[in-house]
Amino acid sequence: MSWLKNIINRIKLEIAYRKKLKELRKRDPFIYK
Amino acid sequence: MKLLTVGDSFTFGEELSDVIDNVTSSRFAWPELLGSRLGWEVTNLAKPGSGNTRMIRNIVNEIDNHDVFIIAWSHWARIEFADAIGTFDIWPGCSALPHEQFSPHRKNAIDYVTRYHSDDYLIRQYLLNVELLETFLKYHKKKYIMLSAFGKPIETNKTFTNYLGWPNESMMEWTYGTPQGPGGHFLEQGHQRVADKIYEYIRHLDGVS
Repeated sequence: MSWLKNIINRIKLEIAYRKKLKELRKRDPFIYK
Repeated sequence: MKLLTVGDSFTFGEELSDVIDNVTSSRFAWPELLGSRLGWEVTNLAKPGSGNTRMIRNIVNEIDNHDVFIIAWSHWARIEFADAIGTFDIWPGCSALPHEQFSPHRKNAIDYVTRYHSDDYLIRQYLLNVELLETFLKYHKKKYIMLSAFGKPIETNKTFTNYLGWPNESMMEWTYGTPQGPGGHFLEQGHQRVADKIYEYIRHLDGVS
């Protein structure tokens, strides 16, 4: 069952990352040109 | 007097009516407005998306060619990287799309910085850069003013000479309530406010010290 735990952990990390990314994009929303 | 300004899109004048590319800065941006009010010759080396290291490099390269320097720092988290193609500025959460035209690998750097950066480290580096540039300008006996374009204030007891608005205010506070372009940049009225603010500061200092 460790493979299942690994997948769940990976999904959790990815969700946390997406949330963090949203906040970071608000912090500096400007585009490199 | 010869004035050199460095900064990001807010100093470049992005979204102002006369901007046609990302190379030539606007005649209506605050550096030009300030220069014409003071009767100073202005060189504006600001660039949209610029990080702070690029600004430092421009100042160092141009130190002998100007009398007064205005450094409009960008967000403290913007950092510079380089690859075989050249230097590029990134920050946690920045879009990889504009970089992909230069190199598909740059998105790996952006992904790494976004996932694993340390804000504490980025703030320490920013403060160190400000301090070192101040020392450099003083060593060369140059007149200067620093200010921030945007970003949440840094919690610190550090003080700097001639850092207008430090640590709580940036151009965002000065231009609050003025019209903005679709990309979030303040427009002509905002640029006038920034120019006025710096002009008053220069007057208060009785010249720039």
